Amino acid sequence: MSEIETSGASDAIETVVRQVLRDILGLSEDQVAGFDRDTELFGALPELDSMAVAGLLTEMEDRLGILIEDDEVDGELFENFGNLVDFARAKASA
Amino acid sequence: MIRAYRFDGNDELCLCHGPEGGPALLILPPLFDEANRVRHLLVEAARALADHGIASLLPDLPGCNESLVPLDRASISLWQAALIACAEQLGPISHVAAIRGGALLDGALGDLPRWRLAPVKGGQLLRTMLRARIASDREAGISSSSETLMEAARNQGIELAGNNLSPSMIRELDSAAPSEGSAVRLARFADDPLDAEARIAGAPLWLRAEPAHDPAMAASIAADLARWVI
Repeated sequence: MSEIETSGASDAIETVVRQVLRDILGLSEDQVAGFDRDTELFGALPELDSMAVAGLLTEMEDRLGILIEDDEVDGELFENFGNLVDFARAKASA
Repeated sequence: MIRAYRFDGNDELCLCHGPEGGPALLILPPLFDEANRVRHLLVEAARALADHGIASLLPDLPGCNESLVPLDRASISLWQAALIACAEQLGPISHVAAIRGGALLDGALGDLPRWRLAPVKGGQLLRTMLRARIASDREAGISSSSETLMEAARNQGIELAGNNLSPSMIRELDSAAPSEGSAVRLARFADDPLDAEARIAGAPLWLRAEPAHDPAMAASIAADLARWVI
């Protein structure tokens, strides 16, 4: 796979993660477009409770065609946007 | 207008809109928490349908919304039986519109033309509820897993995210999928990459952490249903 294709696929995954967060949190396209790697999630977004996190994981599975195991989910995963995207990329390429 | 249908010794409420004598649509809401998050949307869509000259029924399923039946007595097959009773008593109905998990129930209505928005498998709904339970267990210092919870659930039922689910509900939900059928119009959102016959303007409000309403989406749903029904 060439460099260009790799980064293209990664951008697609990042876009899906952005869209899932947009749908769960009810944010606008512009608001999620402003998320960068350091944007804090859990802790900074009070609406991200356990039910919302559960929905977020299931939607990521569905939209990315991945399977997330119980023991892969911890606080660190939702610490910031970068962690969540890295995790999604790793799962999608596995 | 609020009417009631009799099922299993109880009166279950049903919101009825629109003129009699024309096409009549049975609206099947999403299941569990997702139903609460789109209640406003579906009631507004039903009102908009009435403006298009289409009648609709939006029934409470036993154990849900205003129903006095405890949820732990419900199952997918019981809900399907309730819908048949509702259609017999408050119908006739000519079409069925299901959102999300509602599509797991629409097979009960036989060969009626069906419209489905973002249908989902039962296992996916179950998985989300299991995850919420595992997360709240963890906060309480209890270590649990999907496997152990499901094993207990299949034998004695389980409380997941505030829902008391019976062993039969667990078993039926775990394997439930939208039924195959020829007369299905599949609707999805404009930005959904999956195939669909209809595109709805809006967003999946059933996922929202904070419930919200979207009048434009209610209008978009009603407009597509009206085009399809008439």
